[in-house]
Amino acid sequence: MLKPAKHLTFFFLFFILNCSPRIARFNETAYQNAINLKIESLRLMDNAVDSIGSHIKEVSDLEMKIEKAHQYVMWLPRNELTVKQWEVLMKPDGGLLGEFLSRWKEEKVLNKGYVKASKILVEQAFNEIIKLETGKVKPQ
Amino acid sequence: MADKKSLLKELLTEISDIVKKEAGDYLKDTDSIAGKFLKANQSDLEKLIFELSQDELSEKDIASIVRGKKSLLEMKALTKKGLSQAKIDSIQNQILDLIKNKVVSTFLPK
Repeated sequence: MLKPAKHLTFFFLFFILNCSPRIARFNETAYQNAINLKIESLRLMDNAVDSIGSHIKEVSDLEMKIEKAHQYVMWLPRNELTVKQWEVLMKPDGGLLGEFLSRWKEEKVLNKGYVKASKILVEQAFNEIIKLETGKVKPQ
Repeated sequence: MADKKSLLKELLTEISDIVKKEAGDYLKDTDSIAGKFLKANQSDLEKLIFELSQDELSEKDIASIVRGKKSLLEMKALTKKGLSQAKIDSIQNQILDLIKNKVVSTFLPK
């Protein structure tokens, strides 16, 4: 028979060994990246009713910044869910920002109704990334 | 116009099938889940049908928007899962702090 003190020690050891975090901690840079890229993306999407010709550099800059933000979160441990969210956002046939930019490049001009509807979806998608980041445990 | 409407209906049926397929292993009442999804999106869909009738959106646009809605559902599910994990982490941290403080105050004299 184990003494009560030993029971308690085993309980604490068992508890501590099972206490590795399940998800990455809140990361200020990841949060700022999501906020800034949301604003930048929505602003650029407004221009899709014009020909892409004069906006091609802005589109490629935005894609580069998003790829950097994606790479940044990819190297944070236990951050698979956030990484997946960025991938869904940028999927070329996912109906969100990735598809919007692909279609703009391909079709040169997009119609106003589609731009308006896509902006609502892309804004909500960025909000999901931000909501998950802010819900993570803050570092002590 | 009839073709556009039927395209929209086809897309909705496909979404409903996805809900059934993805949730089928975990939930018994997938018809109800699919029904709820369609009901929740009804006003959006009516708006899309109106815009289709006004030629404000093409069939390609509608297909893209419906794909976007599906992706958004996926992102919401990821958020929900992540927030649950973060909540468990937060509870664990509080318990660990409690244990640490108790041990220190019990065994280390001030």
